[in-house]
Amino acid sequence: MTRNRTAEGGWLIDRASTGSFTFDGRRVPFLAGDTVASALLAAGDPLVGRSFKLHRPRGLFAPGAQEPNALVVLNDGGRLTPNARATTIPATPGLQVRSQNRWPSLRHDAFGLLDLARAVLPAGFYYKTFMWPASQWLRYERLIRKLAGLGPPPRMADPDIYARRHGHTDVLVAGGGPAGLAAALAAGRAGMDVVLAHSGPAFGGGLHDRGDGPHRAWLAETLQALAALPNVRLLANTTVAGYYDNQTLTLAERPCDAAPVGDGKPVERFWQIHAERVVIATGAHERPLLFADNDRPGVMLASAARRYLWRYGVLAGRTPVIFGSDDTIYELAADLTAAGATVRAIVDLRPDPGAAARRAEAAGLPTFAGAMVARAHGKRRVTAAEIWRLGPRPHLVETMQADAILTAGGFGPTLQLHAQARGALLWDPDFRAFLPGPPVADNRSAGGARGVFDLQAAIRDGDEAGANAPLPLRPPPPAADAPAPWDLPNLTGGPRFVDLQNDVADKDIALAAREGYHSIEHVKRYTTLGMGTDQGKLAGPIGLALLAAATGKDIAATGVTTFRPPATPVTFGAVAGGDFGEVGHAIRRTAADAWHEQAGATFIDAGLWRRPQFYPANGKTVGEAYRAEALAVRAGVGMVDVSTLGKIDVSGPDAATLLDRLYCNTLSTLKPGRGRYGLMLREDGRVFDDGVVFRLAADRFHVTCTTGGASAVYQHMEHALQVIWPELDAYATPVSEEWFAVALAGPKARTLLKAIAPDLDVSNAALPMMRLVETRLFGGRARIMRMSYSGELSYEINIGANRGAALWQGLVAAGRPHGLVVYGTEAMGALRIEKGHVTHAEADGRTTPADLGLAGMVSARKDAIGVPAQAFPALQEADRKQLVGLIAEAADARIPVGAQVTAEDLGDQPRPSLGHVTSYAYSAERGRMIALALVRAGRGRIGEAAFVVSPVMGESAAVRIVDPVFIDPEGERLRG
Amino acid sequence: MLLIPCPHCGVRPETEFVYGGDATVRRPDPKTASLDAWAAYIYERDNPKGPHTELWLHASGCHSWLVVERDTVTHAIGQVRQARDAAS
Ligand SMILES: [Zn+2]
Repeated sequence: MTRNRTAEGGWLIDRASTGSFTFDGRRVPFLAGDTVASALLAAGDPLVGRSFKLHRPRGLFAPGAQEPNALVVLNDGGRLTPNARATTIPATPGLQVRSQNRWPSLRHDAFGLLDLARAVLPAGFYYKTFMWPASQWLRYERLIRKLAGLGPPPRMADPDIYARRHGHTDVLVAGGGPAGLAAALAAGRAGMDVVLAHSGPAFGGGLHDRGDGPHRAWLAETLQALAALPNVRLLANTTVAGYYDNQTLTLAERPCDAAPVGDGKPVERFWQIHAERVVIATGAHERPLLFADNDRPGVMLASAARRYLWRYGVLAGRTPVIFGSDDTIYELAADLTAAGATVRAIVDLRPDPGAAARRAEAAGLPTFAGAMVARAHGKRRVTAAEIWRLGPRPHLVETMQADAILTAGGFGPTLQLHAQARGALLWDPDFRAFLPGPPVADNRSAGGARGVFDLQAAIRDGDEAGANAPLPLRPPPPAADAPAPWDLPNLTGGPRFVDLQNDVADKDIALAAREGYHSIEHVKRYTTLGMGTDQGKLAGPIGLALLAAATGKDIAATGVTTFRPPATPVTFGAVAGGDFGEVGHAIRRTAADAWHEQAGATFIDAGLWRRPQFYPANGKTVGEAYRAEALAVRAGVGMVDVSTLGKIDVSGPDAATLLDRLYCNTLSTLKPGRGRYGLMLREDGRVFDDGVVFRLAADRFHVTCTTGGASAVYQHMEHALQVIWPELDAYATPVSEEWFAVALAGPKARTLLKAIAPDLDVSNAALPMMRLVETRLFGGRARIMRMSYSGELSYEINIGANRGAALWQGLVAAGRPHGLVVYGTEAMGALRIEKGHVTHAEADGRTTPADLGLAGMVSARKDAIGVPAQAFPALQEADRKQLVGLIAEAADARIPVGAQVTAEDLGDQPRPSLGHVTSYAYSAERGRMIALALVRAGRGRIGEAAFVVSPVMGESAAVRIVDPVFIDPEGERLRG
Repeated sequence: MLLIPCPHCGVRPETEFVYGGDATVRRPDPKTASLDAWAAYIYERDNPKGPHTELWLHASGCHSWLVVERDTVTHAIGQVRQARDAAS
């Protein structure tokens, strides 16, 4: 059997059922019911990891989710999980466990040398050292990341299934210990719907951390009674992670534990539960004690030692020293002795411990009263404890050989959920702990989470909480006849760690205070106190007390840092649930999507839509393809699927008035069958969206808007109709999906239109620019609108979406003799840049109509949203950025991505920016790269030479500032 | 998570809604308003601690703009009306 396993006992293990997992490749045997941590400890070695900053060896320390040290990597490949707490992971056959933050191995960590440099790695070291010169930060950061990493992220897709559920309940009980069980039973018997969530596999919590007694029978009866209540749902392996407004809570459930499954069951389930009432029964945490080298493997909380002994039959050490300030240390000593350990010493901070100490002494256990463990010896594990007598002249009494130091520093309630629900935390000097203040939301803390540490009292408290009895007064505080953990003197020198996970020692906090950091929130960020994955559950109160002492304030005035969800780490997989990959979001497909797919289109996301970006059939690369596609449009005819453009039907007697107020130009003067380009502003005067508006009838308009703006424009319309001008009798109906839309563009567009609509008069006289005709095509009702985005002769055909595929295929067939080329968004972009049309790249929420050269569209003769704001002085400043065109001086010059526009090219030297490039493309017609840009007072600079530079890309090019319309400025082509 | 009782659709989670800001501001009369009045309407908002009357659009529901009384401290939701009714 393994070294530290007891001969018998262990409430949660089955000695008949064994298995093994690997730790750093080594085989570790376990018993069914073990955690990874209990099996490792049973195997005899508490060393489980290296610390975050200093790479000091670290061992198992705390009993559960608050474990700061034993962070491990589970599994490999897609199932790799970093930063798992070994104390909460069930041991399962074949599980691969690896230590982390060490290289090349846990025992021989090359970066362990960092510990020698501890003196030069004080609080704020990274900020002080590596931020200068600022240009080098990126380089430093790469090195620091390598040194100070947690576990590695998985590099492959996770093959497992994660689920999400929503639920409602009358009462949610967080925590399945004695108080939680009693609460769930009381509420369940009262007929309430109850959800009881317990973070571990075995309901009972602390009841399993002690020997036999009447409480075992109570546990069995209670579990039986709960199982018999159909209105109670028991969720084991489930942590309550977040407590949000309006009684919404999130729970992370691991129904299959950590074992890889792959049988179609989810490995984790993320619950979102709305609870009328919440009972917080999450227990209490034991506080660490401060002494030199208190982080050595083998130093462990007494509560953890109790748990390993009673749950798993594992000794925390064979020759432990027990150190604390209350009678529980004598109890633990007796329990460990009975289980086969040789307790080397019981060190009691109290000068006059009383009967329990005398009994221990009588039983032959060496006891030291009014004494403390001042220092741990040993490196990779504890070898001895220095026992010092306290008093006016503290002195070393004995250096006791020991393989473990178990500390009992008293308990403080867990406050995460109470605090997340905005409950105040009240410092209680008698408890030497924060207690939950009056709850703000519909919840009540019970048992240890409220400071009720006695077992019988906790059960009673839970029962009352479940029955919704009024909250009683403060529970009686434990005796405080010894110095507080943070008041212990540093008698030997040496680091005394407050936050084990982040390597924050007491002197780091003192240093932060000396440097002027007095707010706990600042100290947290400066020293990284409490910023680990354990969120400082153990470190927080002590760090706070040390800061209070260093700043001369009391603890209540120092305050606490904000508690944020999740209370314990939740995997990304659980939060994402099934919402990733192909089903990460809904995909909107146009009616011609199947054709695009078959044609081999490369798609690009446009909001939820997927649109063909280009067709590789037209060119090997995106660059080649779009150039060929754009050229084909200018030379012959092309077509593009524009179904994604937003379409809104606006109707009613006041429809024209509404549109006049929504657009800065006038639309009410449109005659039926005619259209006009409309520019929509925000009330602050900036351009919001644009599109073409056609009047279908006196009281009906067909409004188009951009793909990206469609839903915002509709919301804006409803805001105008319902909030600003509710007296207007008009209706807006989004109809984007009702219509399939295709644009035909190019000199041969009319020929192609004629081919599919032979009976329609498509002559320039019958169908001029901005005219709409309705007709029937391919068995459906269609609207043909003469308008142009590309600058060529162009028509947009809308047809009922169910006829869309027929229209598209009909056009493909009819276009074949005319050399029709199908193009994507990339070519569409190139064509509109050549024509100087703006999109949201230019109308970026900062630009006004005047900035974009569209001042003439703003009608001053009527009221419209955004028109009054045009008079603001800031919108009229002379050096505002204005839309201009840029054309490369050299035919082979590239325009870098994200380029700035400058007057000079100074290489790597900084220089003032005149503006920035918003869009660029290759213009086949101009035979070089062109761009649209927003340049300060740009219209006044037309004709000037400039540069486009990207220091990030290390590229630049000489350009000339020109008018933003690169082709056909008179618009002869589109009117022809 | 806020729960907002929509007069049409019932109690719905906040994820179905889009926030619309202070509901008490009124668009100035374009015939008479000064530039200062416009600046106040566009930019100036109080940031009250406590009761707040605000607009919410039920975007994933009935598309009603609602006037919601919400306490910015407790997030308690009070009266909810249709903006159209609230204006009259
Ligand atoms: Zn609604």
